[in-house]
Amino acid sequence: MNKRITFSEVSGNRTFYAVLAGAALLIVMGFLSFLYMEHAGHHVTGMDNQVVWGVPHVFAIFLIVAASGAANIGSIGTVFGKKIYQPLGRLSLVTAVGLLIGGLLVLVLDLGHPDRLIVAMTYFNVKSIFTWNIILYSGFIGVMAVYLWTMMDRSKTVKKFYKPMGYVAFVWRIILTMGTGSIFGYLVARQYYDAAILAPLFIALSYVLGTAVYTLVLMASYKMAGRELGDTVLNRLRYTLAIFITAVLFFEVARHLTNLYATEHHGIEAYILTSGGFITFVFWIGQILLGTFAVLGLVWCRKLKNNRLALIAASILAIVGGLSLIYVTLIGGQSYPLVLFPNALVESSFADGTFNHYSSSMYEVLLGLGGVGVTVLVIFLATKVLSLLPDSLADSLADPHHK
Amino acid sequence: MSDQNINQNDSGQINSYRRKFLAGLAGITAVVTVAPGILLRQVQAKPAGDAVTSKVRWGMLIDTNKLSDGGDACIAACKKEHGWGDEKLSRTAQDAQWIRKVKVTEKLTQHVTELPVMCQHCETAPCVDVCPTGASFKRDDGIVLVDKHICIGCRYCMMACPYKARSFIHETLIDQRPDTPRGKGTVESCNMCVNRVDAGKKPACVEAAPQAMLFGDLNDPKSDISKALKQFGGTQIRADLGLNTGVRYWGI
Amino acid sequence: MFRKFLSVASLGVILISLLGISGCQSKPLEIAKATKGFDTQEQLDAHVKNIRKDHMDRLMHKRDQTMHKGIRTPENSLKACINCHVPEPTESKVVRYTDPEHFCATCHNYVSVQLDCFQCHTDHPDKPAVATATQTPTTAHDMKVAIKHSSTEAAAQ
Repeated sequence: MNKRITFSEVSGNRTFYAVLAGAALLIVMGFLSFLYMEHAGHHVTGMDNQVVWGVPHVFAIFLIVAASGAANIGSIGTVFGKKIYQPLGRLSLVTAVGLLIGGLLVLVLDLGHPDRLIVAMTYFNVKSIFTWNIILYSGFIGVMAVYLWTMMDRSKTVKKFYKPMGYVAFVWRIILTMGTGSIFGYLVARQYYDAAILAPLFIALSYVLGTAVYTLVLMASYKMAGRELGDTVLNRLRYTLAIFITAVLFFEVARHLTNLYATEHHGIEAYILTSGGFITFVFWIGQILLGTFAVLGLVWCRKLKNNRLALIAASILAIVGGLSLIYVTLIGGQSYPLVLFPNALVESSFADGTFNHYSSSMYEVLLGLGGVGVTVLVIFLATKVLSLLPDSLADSLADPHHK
Repeated sequence: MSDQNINQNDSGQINSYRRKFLAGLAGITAVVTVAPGILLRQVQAKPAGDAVTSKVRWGMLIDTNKLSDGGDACIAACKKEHGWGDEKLSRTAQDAQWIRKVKVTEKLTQHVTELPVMCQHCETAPCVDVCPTGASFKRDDGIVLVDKHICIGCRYCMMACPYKARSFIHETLIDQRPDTPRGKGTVESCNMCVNRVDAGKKPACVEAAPQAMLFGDLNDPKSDISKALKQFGGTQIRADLGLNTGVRYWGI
Repeated sequence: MFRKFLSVASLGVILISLLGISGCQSKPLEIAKATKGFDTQEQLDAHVKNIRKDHMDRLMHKRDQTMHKGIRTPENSLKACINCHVPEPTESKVVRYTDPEHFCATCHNYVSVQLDCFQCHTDHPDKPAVATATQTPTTAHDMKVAIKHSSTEAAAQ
């Protein structure tokens, strides 16, 4: 590691505490929504027996997938030995843990019986990918904590474990994202899900979301702390973002082309790509136009090199794109009716054969935002109590090739 | 633990009041054994203290051609037996439906079939595979159930079920039927009237449409349902998924 | 000096509250009478002794056997408890577990132990008419009236 780089806690200023207060407000609102939904039952939400997972799950999946990706910055430094990423590792791991805790909370608080969490921890059905995810998610926090310790402790004994822990975290992360993707990948019943390509797609997506969130967190904390952040580091993140967005696009195109080849999937493809109304809009405008091509434009446009505003916009748009992808997959996949009888018109009192409509309630959105609040609070509080941020990431210090 | 073990643990005095309890239940069993009906031999009550075994696999055969109402009587009987469909606060899309009438119109021929669809009691049920806590499970006798004591309400089983047989309870319920516990925040579905089957009775829907529905042990080659299926076959909905359903149809 | 005073004072407060707790007169609870009786006092005594100590075990641990294995021994049946210990609903009154006079609620309220069973299980016997004749579903309005009625009665006591 570059010897000239020193780490220290941030000293909170007014903006810093304003951000914490904002996060706390989100958490309070989210918690109140949870209490209301828990007390009244899910009839106050937009979810029903046709669209059983809604906006809380979009938020939760977003946060969990982003968590895995955020830790990638640390992995690049440790596993692939890229010097420039090494000073970024500490914040990367804390961002990952913050995102995961936020996502997990949203997921858990939307359960029909959040009071039975202990049941989920004591009764295991090993055949269920959910069970694996419970272990993977909670294990992730532990792995990241140990990894962070080996990263921060300067004693020789602990340092020995730095590299091995980096590998453990790297593998754990990939399995975790695959597990999340597999929640959908192995649902034979649903036309839009039953495909193994969802696992690698989610891995690529995790890198996009993680990098985008990490970039925003890094820029925000350096701005608030008044520390210097050079263009070299940011440009690395900028190109990382673009590469992984291209990867997501590749998997997405492959997925749709495969579906379009099989007659049994023509219905769902027509629904998502052309006739799905809001779903189609979110797919083309949110995911493809804003979330993919606008980001690529902002990153690759030569004139915008070293333009920080463009990078912020690109990161935000990448997040919009990722949320859109999750929304289309989750809500779109459920809106399309189950095919009980191919080649037949099906109707019933239980919405067979109809496109299900879903509009979220305020409480679901607030619960999801509460998870975001938890994430923000965890990350920024951590920068206050732990020496996570390098005092300076100016080009002269951060760039190993600086002349 | 078998009934015998429980016996040994209890004192003699408790046994005497237990006999008193049992007397009440014996009344019900007696009615079944003397009632006339062709299915009498196959559907016999197991002793209350015995565990169900995999020697039996309960199944159903539905002849849609003989269901002149498309299954309305079955649905009404199910509602009456289990008390669903009376949710006060839920929207229509949130209401529970254990069994529903599906109208199928073949696109090319315009042939219309109406059939009741409920939990198909798969041998390899996707809902059982995905349930994180094991609340969604298959009893040894093939009946797929939700253990609401340990259901955390994650709804993953609803995502996994190819038949959309499951409902989530979106509100607080009161005045449930004594044999059918149902409650907010848990998932439920057709339980093949497990309470009635354990008492040696037929499911409520089968009783409501005896001309069109058979209930019995698929593992017993001598049962009416096995004989009928052996002779004429029976269609599974979405047989392509290979789930080996316990509910079979004629006329679809 | 002030700190010393504070610690002595807090110690005093704790002692007094402890005294208060120990001095509480705990009257035996008046629980609802069962609708059916046993033949002998011996049977009753055995039942009371067993159930007081083991009812949670019977309900909690035997439930899995019933649920997963279909073992339905009547002495572990929650339905049997309810049928004997909670009065049948009448036109004017349905005793629910939210009412203090409900057999289970009386003690559970007293010891502040939450009753989870009745989130799903019904808390009162079935109306006798319902079992045989066609069921007329109670409307939401009826239910609200019933709940209101029971709660005002509870308040009046």
